[in-house]
Amino acid sequence: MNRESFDPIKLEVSWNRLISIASEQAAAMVNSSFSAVLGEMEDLSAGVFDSAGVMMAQSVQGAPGHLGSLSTGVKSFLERYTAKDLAPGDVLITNDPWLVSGHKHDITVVTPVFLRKRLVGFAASNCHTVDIGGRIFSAGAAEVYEEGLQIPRMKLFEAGVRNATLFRILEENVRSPELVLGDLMAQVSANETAARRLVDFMTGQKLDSLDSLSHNITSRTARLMREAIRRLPDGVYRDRGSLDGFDTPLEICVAVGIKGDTITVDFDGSSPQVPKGINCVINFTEAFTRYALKCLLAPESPNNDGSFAPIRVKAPEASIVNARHPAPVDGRHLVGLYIPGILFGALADVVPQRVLADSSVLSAVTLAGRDLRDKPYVFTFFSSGGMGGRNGKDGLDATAFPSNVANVPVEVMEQATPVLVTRRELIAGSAGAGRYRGGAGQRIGVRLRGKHPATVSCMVERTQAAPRGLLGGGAGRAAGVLLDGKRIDPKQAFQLEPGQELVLETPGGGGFGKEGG
Amino acid sequence: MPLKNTGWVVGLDIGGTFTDVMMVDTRSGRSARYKALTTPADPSIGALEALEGVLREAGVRPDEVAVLLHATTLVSNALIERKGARTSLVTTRGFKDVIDIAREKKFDIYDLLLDKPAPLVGRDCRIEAPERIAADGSVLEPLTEKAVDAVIAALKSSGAQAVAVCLLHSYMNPAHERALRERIRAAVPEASVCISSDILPEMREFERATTAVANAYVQPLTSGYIDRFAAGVRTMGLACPLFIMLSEGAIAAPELVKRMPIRICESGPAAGAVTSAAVAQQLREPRILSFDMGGTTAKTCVVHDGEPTVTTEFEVARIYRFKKGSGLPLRMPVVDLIEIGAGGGSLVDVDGLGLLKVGPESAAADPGPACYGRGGERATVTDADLALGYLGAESFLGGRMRLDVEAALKALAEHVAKPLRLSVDQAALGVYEVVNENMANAARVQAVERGHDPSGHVLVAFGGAGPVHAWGVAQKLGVEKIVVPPSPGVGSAFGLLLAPRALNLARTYIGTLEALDWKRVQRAYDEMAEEALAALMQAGVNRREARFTRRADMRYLGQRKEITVELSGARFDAGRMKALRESFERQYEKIYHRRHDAHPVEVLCWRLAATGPRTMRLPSSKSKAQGTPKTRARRSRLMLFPGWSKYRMCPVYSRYELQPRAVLQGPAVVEEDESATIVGPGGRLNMDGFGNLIIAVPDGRRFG
Repeated sequence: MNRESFDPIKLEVSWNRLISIASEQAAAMVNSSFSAVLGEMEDLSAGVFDSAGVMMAQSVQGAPGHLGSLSTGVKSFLERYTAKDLAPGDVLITNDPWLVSGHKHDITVVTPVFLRKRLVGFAASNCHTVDIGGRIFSAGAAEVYEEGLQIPRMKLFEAGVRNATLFRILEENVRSPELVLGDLMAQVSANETAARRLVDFMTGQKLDSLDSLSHNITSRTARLMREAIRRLPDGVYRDRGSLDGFDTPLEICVAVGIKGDTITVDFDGSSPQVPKGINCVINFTEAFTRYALKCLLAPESPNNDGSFAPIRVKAPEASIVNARHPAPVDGRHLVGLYIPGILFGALADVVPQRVLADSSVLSAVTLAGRDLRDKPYVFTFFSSGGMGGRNGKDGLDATAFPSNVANVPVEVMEQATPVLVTRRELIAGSAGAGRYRGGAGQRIGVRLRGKHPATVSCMVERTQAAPRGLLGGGAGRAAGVLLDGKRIDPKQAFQLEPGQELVLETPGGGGFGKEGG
Repeated sequence: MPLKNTGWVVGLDIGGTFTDVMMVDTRSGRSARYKALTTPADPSIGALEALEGVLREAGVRPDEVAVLLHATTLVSNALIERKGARTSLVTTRGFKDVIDIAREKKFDIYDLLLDKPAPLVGRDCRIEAPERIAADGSVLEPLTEKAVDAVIAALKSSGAQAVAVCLLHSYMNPAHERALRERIRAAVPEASVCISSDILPEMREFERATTAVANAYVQPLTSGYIDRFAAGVRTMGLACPLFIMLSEGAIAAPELVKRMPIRICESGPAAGAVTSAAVAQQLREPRILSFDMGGTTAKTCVVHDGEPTVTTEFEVARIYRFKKGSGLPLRMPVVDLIEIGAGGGSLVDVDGLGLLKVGPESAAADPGPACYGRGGERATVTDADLALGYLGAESFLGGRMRLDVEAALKALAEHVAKPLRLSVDQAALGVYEVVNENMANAARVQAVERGHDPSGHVLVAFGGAGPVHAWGVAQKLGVEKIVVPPSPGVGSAFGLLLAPRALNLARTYIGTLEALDWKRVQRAYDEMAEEALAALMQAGVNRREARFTRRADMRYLGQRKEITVELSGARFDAGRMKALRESFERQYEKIYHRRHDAHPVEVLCWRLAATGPRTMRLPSSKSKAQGTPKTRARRSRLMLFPGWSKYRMCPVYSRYELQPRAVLQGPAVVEEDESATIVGPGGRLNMDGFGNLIIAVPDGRRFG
């Protein structure tokens, strides 16, 4: 690899360009998407990579779990394809949970970029699809086979020609093929936009390869991370957190070992995997570990593979944070989203100025049925509770953390489904008390219009294990799901009849520091 | 009231630091400029002073002024500084927290200490009304008299000076909002009332509520300001009509602005875009990038076929300066421009990665750049420009303000060169390069997001710092031609004189092309035309002068984002279906590289733009001068350009001494009172017959 160094000005200029290319890629995906999951809630990521699959830049918008695992995902394609297997016009695809972001509902599309017929890099994106067949989006499966269609690493387009067989299989296996395929094409188009911009950029800069630029970017970023780690006292810092789990409570244990300029995060002691779809593949565990540490160590610098270099993640095989095939994984975020809070707990005394108390975990409700015109629909809406209190500031009300998924406007949801939203309000008193209180949770009520019932799957955590306070702060209010005012077990899929009101209450964030302290 | 096109037309632009005036006598072609400090406490004071000043200096009597055109930062400042009225919000029952909950996502995923912009209305000032309209516009729960009475009682006890009403699905059926408006007006006459279906009849309750609230919040303030300003102008002896610039680049009557004050939020930057559009028309340049760089920010926008692009998505009062997503989202017609923290006063810094950063923080007017010698110690863009010889220490602001070169060099040495281990020269060049790249990047994203390649454009540069940096920005964008119009330092005030009196309206009516009720489409257009014509007539336009353009926001059924497609003709029926689909798909393919052949196409919003005449136009006939006049440099100065290892003597010209057809070679500087135009090595500048400076940039695409 050419290790020529860039002067700081040229590097700044080029680096900014790569970030703006990735951001344009994400914006193109959102704008040309068909589903609310992409278009309104933006459950996606985009990034640009060098020829060795090293992530140089990611989009400014995006979900951390996706962003972290996209990098691992692109490298897995390079195990399957070498440069000579790829040609201009090829587009690669997979949704293998173990290769990218941990469940089949995320489709990864990777477009090789060619300059004068030579492979120079990749544009990649990862999006939550509205449906992938099998069960609807839920944690109810006993094996990954029940969770829908698995697309191995393969070519979606070969030299510009679409893989008609794969398109037909997809079309016949999913509930809303026009949304699924529309979103997929949005990914393909957006990657193509990014690929064209990369070629323009290289032509303009007279670059034959991105690898030296990539090396400069990632090594600077890694150096910054290492410097930040070196400033922390060596030691092993531990914490454990309990989760609702599915049938029985589960536990995530972390030991954060700081030694010199590296960090090793060991999840030893965490619960074994369970026969319900909440297990995390190691990629997803790594993504949230890296994300949390970056927030603490170098939040202001742009993210790329360099941020990951000084971080090692270890997790026991066949555990909830390192699931073994064929464990079910569709609701893996119900476990993975806890990881940052537990890491913050472990490091609370080491970097108290940066950590925050526990936050809510993203809740998802999926409804499937027939609309007012008797046409089938499937619709997922995400909803966040309060963020944890921070050192010096209250937690943010109803704000996504650690995910960064937006909500869907009431008016959009009601245009797309027969649902009538009865309320969307902050829950008074739901925030954990403390010197700095947590953010408030919210209450959303829905009712069906028309005469058809709907199948409902709720993926809601923290109904038992409420967000903890930190450094003396109080816990936030737990989550709840109510049917006509009565609490129900949110883990089981059920039928919602017209006229019934389903209410989701998202948790309040934990408080930071002792109240009055 | 038709405009007298005989007499002085005056444009007055209140900016963050300076209030600029540009006036032209349409009879003789004589012009005059004036700059005065803005008076933030009551901007009408500084504005009236500036007006008095320009008339006095030019020896013009107040009654010789034929029309006064105005742009102001009043509304955006009130939103940034939170100095609007005590406002209440009325919502559908169960939804008063929608403006807190917002969209739930964070604008920066790594910054755990970030804040979100607080709503303009506190929770204690929100009132819920029991009522419900469904997504199709049908009434699920009627709004009862009792409910209205309760809302009014609550409003009275809240002491609101302004009220916004935003009910769910009011864009489909505004009946409940209208009923509330009438009753509140009657019962609480001291408060101004605005309803969301009037301000923004579009889907998405959070953005619609935020926009309606922002409008209500600035309404009392804006009305008061306009009344005071108009009275002051009359007292001064001006008897002419007063018109105000809207964010969409059109001039409107004060009555409209009082009803929808939010629409003047970006009036100054919009006026700048109008200047570029006028230059585009004058030079018949179909593809222009407008580049307006002032003291604090730079604004760029795309001007195609002589018209700036107008969008409806906009954010105001960003709490993390210029960070996308950190402001209050507003939906209203606004010139599609991008504003970034890159101006002459932008501060230079070295970040944790050892990289050079410029802006977005600004030294503003106080203390100002180090070279102003007013206590500023940190280096700014202006300091680097001075160090590189692009600005003259003696010639800044026509020599009225001497710049301190030593202070500039010291600031660059200590705060930039030393931490980066560069020479001061390299540091100064670095600042020039980085700020140019920031602006070029913003311009590039702005263009490419809209499907345009920036390199095929002509750069029109103005604002005090625009002509200084246009050379560097053009190279980075691959632009081959720069135009610097006359009086670039008061470019926005000039734009006021060149703007049409116009209004953009929209109606939401959603349906696939196959399912639309075309009679309803026709009715929507007829109503909009009537409303727009009434507003234009208020602004002195007569019926024959009004021109209408129709556009529709279209997408493939169910897609997130619509694209705006121009429609031909004024009559709408089912026969138009095929042509509409084709226009949409052609444009879609340009942006996303493909079509979805079998997919239905949906229309969401129908737009009408009504346009009347401009106050004045740039001259369309060139000077008839023949031959190549002599150009002589006034003096020379040491300058440093990218790629040079050391300073070299370069000529300095005065713009006032250049004649049409004059030609000069770069490297060189052309100075004028409020700005300086840089021509780099290999560049060639000529003054055209209109007095524009035209620069040919060789070797564009240096940075692709």
